[in-house]
Amino acid sequence: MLAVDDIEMNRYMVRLMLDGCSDIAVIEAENGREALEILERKQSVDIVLLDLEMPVMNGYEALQRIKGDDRFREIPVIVLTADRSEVTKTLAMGANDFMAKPYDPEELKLRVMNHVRSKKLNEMVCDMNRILQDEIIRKTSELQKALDFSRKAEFEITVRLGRAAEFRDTETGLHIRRISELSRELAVLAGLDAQECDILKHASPLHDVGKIGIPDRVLLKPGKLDPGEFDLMKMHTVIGSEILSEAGEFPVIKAGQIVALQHHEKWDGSGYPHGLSGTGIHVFGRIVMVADVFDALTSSRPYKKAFPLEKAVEIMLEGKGTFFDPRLLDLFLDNLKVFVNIKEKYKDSDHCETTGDQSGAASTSAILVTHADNPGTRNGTKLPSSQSKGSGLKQASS
Amino acid sequence: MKSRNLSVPEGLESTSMADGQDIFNKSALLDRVGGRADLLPRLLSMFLPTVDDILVRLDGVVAGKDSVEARKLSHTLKGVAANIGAERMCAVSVKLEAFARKEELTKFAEEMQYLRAEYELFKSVVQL
Repeated sequence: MLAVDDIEMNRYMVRLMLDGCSDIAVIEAENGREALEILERKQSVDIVLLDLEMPVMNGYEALQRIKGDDRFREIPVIVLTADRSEVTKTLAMGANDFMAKPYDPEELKLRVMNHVRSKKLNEMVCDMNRILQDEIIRKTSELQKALDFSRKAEFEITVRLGRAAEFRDTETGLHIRRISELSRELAVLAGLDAQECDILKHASPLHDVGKIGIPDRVLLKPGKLDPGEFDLMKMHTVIGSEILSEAGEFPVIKAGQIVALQHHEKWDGSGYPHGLSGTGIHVFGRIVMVADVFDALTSSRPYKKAFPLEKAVEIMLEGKGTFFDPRLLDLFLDNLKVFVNIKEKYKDSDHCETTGDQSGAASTSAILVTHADNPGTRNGTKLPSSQSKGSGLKQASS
Repeated sequence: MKSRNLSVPEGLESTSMADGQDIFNKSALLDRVGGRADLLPRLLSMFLPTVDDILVRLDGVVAGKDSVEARKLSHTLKGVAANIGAERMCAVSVKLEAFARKEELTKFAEEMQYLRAEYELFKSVVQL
């Protein structure tokens, strides 16, 4: 206990009165400033007995400073006064109790013990709260880690499922990665919330997972597909959707189903499998459509070379409002640099790029962005006719 | 502080006046210090110089018409007198504090005479 009084005899009497309390050691201070210095030095003061009229720093100022300091605020202060106005004033300042001189030894002991006990109980509660808080933080962190791991596992599964489909195709693992990054970036630009962007990033690799169910004779057929084969090829959207159906509480798989089913739907309703149009097509499907076509146009395949960027942009622009959601296409082209950077970061190996002279051996199952006079090839994603006049375009966009 | 040779008469329990207040309420003081009569000289050796000092300072503040300081000093005196059991001195200090609070320094100065008288009585009772 810290006894603050400028009169030595008063401090001495407090010491005598608490002599029998073995748990209480009395520290003395002659004024408020000395009391604060002691509080600064000692962490173990459990109660302050504070006189009001003192030189150097009076009890009012000392009380104000004690109660205004986070470190000392919880230390109970008993003010030594019997004056009603002083009692009211000091209680308002945060004093915990008051006593008058002459001290009654029993009263002093009881009041001191009560306040010290309350303080100790408070400290115990605070300690327990701190321990509980730490435990909650630890458990929450563990749960977060488990959740993160679960999300990673879900993403890994989607990527590997996507790869499984691409393994049967000429596409590379980097195509999957590019679609993932391009789609996410476009989703951000389109104003989707962060969680949706993240889900699409992880779901877009599943867009062609349905190719697993397409027979090799169609998927790997060199050259054009006949109308029957083309109808079969179109089924990769429905098959993908079936594979990913009943996703329950797995948001990425659920989004993957949408992407797989709708990434060949066109803005004007001429796409497949359901001929959806406009905003009837889920925004995930519309975004992946843009990302997928851009990647197809600007990538080399064993049977074709990559288009120069300017040409790819020209082709895409011609599909504005028919092929692509015009707003998404504008966002894409207005921020083309961002997408070109992604393309560069995850570009295919030189080997793939330099095999473009095998155009005659278009052997893959890629979705084709094709010349108007060359319909029905591959997945039949057909851009307007002017784009490819004389270009010999047979563009894969899987 | 130079130690003074202080003692309290053996048979003295209280020195009640007509108004019921003691010049020195020894039994109350003993109650406060756990019945340890051996500590009384030490307490008195602390009390007396404190009062001497306050009296000197009170003279100064009266001369300087400093009612704020007069109130503080009489407040301190009230507390210390109460603690030692100098009940009549304490009662006079209460009056002094009230006069100071009301800035009635003339009455304050008059009351000071009573304080000195009570102090002398106290000293005589505790047999200096």
